[in-house]
Amino acid sequence: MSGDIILVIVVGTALAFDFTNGFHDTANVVATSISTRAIGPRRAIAIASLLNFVGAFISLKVAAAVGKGFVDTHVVTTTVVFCGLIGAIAWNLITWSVGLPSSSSHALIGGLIGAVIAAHGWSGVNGHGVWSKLIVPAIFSPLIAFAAAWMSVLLAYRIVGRLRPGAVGRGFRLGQLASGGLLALSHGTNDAQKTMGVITLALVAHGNLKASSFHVPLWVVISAASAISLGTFTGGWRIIKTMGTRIISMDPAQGFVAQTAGAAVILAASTVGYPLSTTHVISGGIAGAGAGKRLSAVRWGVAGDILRAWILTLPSAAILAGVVYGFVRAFGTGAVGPVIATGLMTGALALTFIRRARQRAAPVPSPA
Amino acid sequence: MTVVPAAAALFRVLLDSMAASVALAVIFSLTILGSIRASEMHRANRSNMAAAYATLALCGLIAFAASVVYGLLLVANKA
Repeated sequence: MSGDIILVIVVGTALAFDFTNGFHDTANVVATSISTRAIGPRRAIAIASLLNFVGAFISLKVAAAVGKGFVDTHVVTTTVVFCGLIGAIAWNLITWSVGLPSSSSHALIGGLIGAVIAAHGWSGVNGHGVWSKLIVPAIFSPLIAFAAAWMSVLLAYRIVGRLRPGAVGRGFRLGQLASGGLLALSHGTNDAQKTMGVITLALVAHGNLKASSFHVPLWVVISAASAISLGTFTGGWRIIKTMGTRIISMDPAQGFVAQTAGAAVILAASTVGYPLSTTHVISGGIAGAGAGKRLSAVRWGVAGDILRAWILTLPSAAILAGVVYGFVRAFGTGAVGPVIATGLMTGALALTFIRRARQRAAPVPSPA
Repeated sequence: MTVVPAAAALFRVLLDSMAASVALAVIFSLTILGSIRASEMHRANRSNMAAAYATLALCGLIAFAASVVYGLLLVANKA
């Protein structure tokens, strides 16, 4: 009975995590199209949301990698998966409240690894899988997106450089309808699968599925696709208000190239089962498109922040998940620990949102 | 033994994404070039050149759409 309760909590928490992933990443997916005025915010978000849903059905290799590539499925319990998720959410909450750009994907996998280490030691972690399918792709994917965008924008400028800028801009804005769609599709393909992998892992741990024939059930695919799609749709409405100030200025050719490079890297990585940080890849594409025009146009300080956050995310989420595991086990092996931890996490989430809302509502002091 | 497949997979991602990104950017840029030049030539009453550029634009557009569809099919089949 308590195992069933924990499984329901894990599935609910995983879907909530997926929702926040879509919510958080809306800006990455639609920002370029909106900033170049290729498409209006409402339409961009609606299309991105729909394509995120469709993208989740394209591939399942990333789900398999998350589910069985990093940890030994035989030592994983539903409590371990739960603690991994809470560790990831806690880290996302901390980074969100201090404004540190971090990857939800790395937090999720870091949390899972940390909970496994706390429960079974290092022997439960597949070190080779973590190195070859997580760390190496995490280092190289933004660089590949940067190089692809840089080379593409140079060639594009060479071809259209002597034409009327207004007409060229209109042409690339039309192209952004396709490249933006591709980016949203690729985002759904890679990011929704991480949640599918975690839920499937919990089902294996609970005994609903066999570890030897790892496959993702259709209801898991549909629910993960719906959660990320709904998150993307909801997240967008907040972005509309701040869109004008948060996005760097890009011309339509750069926007088209950045989106195409980002989508190409994410889709290519999905075919080999790399769970990438889509945020990092898209940032790499945008930086490459900027550098192709003018090297000084790129805000290298932002790249430094991303690097710092990347180095911190995996170990921090792992440590938090380990602490959560210790806390949950203090209440025994039943459902009491996970229920209390869920209540505390919900309270922390509510407090953070209220604090942020109050900070925004506070009047700005006028200069003396 | 295990390093080679990991490196091969990464190299495949590098090659596939670079090729796709550059090809799509070049094809779409040629589409824009053809479209704008066709319009300019048409206004200058150079109908042969206008037709040639319009053909370039049309071929570029078809190639762009076909590349996107082919790429997605490839991803779906590999996955």
